[in-house]
Amino acid sequence: MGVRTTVVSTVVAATLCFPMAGVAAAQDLDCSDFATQEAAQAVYNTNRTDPFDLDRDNDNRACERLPSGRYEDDPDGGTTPTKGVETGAGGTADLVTAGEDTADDSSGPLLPLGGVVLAAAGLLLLRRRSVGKRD
Amino acid sequence: MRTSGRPTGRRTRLTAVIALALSLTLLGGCGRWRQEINGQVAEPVRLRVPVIDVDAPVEPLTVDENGVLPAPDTFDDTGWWRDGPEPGERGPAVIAGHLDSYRGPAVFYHLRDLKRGDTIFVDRADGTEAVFATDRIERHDKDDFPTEAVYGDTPDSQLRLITCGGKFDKRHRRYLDNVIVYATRVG
Repeated sequence: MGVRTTVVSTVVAATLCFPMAGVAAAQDLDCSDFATQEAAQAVYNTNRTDPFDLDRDNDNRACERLPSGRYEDDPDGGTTPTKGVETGAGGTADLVTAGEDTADDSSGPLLPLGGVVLAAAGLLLLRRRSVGKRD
Repeated sequence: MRTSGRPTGRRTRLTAVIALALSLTLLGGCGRWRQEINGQVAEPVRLRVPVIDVDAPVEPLTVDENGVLPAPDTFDDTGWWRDGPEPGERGPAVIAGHLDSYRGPAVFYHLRDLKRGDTIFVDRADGTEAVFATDRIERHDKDDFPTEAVYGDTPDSQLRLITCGGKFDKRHRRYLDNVIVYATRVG
């Protein structure tokens, strides 16, 4: 398939995805088409001649009866946390520690190694003890 | 002969254009949520992770004066990093929850059991939902927390779920690690 075909198809697909961009003027919008006042206001702001009559009382506020999106009062971009989060009180500490090998961890290989060392030490101790008994 | 061949060629090309455009549209999934990513969406109110039986309220969390994200007030609720993106917007939305209480398991007790592809739902204040798929799960020492990977900006809409894990330091009554689930918006 030619490059041109691909490019044209992508443009057509993009237009299908964002119908508002190309054919907004052909479509009539009412306040009931918006979930929030802010969404209606955004469309109104793109064309102050108000072709859809979203601002019937001409006070530059579109669709005042629509609910406000709560999120408008909550801008992003505040402090970014550092460090971890203290999200445990320890009620299952024994269980969690026992199952900890299931999660990815860079220090993983050390744990089994520690186990082997411990087991070897235990065996040595046992052997010495039995040797001691024989004497 | 050359001229008579042209219309057929054009028609074929037109058909190819239409077919490809339609399939791109379908594959690309031009649902509303892709447009949401560059805008602002409503606050999260509930987190649902069916595979680990999580269905819990989400409360806003504000970073303290030491730059640390506090844990949610209760063991059954989850908390969302309020100053960051709302779940569904571009960037990493962060939700934290307790691993356990003083007595037993808390809301994120089974978080470490999540697998790649597991679905996470976030219900929002305006009645809409954002859907995420688990990408990976990691465990890190809290003193070596991957701040950039968790809180750093992303080109798409991401979600992070954070809880405790690893060894429990009995003297200081704290877990030494954090378990972090990385997820990407899919719907």
